[in-house]
Amino acid sequence: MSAPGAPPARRARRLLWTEILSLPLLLVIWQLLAMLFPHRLFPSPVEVALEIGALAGQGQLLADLGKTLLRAAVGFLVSMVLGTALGLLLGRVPWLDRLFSGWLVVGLNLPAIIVAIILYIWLGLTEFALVLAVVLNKTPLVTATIREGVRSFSRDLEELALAFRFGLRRRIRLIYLPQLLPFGLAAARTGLSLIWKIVLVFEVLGSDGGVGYRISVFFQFFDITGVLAYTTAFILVVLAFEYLVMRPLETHLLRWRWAPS
Amino acid sequence: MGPELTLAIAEKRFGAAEPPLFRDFRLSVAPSSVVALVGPSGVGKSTLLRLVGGIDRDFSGNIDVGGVAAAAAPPAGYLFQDPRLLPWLSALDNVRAVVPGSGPEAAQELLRTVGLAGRKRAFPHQLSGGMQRRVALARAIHANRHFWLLDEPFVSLDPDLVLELQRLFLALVKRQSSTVLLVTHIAEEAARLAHRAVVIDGRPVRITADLALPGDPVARSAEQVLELAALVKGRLRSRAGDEDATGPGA
Repeated sequence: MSAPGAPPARRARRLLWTEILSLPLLLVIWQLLAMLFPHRLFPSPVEVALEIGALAGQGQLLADLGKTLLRAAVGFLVSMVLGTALGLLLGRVPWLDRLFSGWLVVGLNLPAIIVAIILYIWLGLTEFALVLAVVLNKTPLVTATIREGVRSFSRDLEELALAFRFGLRRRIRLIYLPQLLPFGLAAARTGLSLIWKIVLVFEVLGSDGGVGYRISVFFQFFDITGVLAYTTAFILVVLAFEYLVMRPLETHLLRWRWAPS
Repeated sequence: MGPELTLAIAEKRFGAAEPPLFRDFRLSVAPSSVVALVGPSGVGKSTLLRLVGGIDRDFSGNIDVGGVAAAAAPPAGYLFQDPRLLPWLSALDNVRAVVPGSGPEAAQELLRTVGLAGRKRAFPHQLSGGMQRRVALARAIHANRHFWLLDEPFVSLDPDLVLELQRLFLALVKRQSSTVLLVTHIAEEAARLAHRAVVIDGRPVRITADLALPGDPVARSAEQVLELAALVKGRLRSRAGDEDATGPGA
């Protein structure tokens, strides 16, 4: 697509600009469509932005965002720790792997909503039930990814560790953790996108606040501007997390990898 | 002063159904001597090196390094056939990694010795294959100055560099009186570097020739090297299609 003779630095800069323009482009298309099909149920991004300002001014929006983010964060952290531990165990101990790989398949494919319904019935519409549902939905994914990482450990590097008599600590720090890291990051990334989605669904299903809960209230009033205002605010948080935390973290941790520039 | 090596392998096999790779295999290496293990590819040279290095501990018999069982002995300066660097560490950190708590100075000096002083911060993927092998060589020297196990150390390097590194190798061995077990399929390499060439072949592996190569390797002239190489080559079973047994290295 780019001129074959373009120097790599210029091509890289052009690619960067293309990426920067990606989201504004989405906004422009939205605005154009809103102007093309003016309707009460299809607000423009400007109207939505004003609504975000108004809702934030009332304090409700931030409180709801905070609640949702807290649930997502707790669910994320617990399932990462739990999933990593289980993944290591299943990756290292063959008979445990045989015994539980069926469970893992069930866990990976069980519709999220069913887990939530069952837990809500058993435990009531509680915060604990909600977070537990998130954890149960995400942990199998982390476990499977980490197990894959453990299985792909290099025989060659194991030999290296033996030849130079690496102790357990040096082995973990220099051989195992770096090999596991890309898998951990992949688990975090896929897990995070799953969590953003299911937390809101669970909140719609039963909770006393949070982005999902508020959106379901807006839904009952057909308040599409409110729905979009909350959605946009939520998406902004997700994007901020992606670009300010995940991407720099990944670039830093995986800087030793060959990367096309 | 390098350690003495005593190998008495009662049996080593991969899988019960396979014939044993080694049976009643004995070899002694005098302290501070360079012994070249020469043999056709696939005969088991690398396996033997892994046993001596304490990597492969699944065999019956005894392998002593300086009077200690191989797996319990201090690490050898081990050079694998591939560079086998840790991709997530810089060249400098790869060299440092093999000695716990080692500061940067010694490792830096070794990188300078192998001609990579300017690339110490580079990750392995940023180095050419030859450079990676030189980092691996520096790492092996750093791990142990007196005992090296080298698996085809000079293959796939360009010829000028091979000569330079071999000169460096000879100087280091002489200065530090290291014990070296060197695996190679190239007769010239044995003739240039070793005090003794042990030719192995067959299954189970037997020593088909044990040749003392007279004179100090540092002082050997080109003619002497050729002469000795011919001697070693004469004892090496030539295989159809295995022409690289005579070449100067791929």
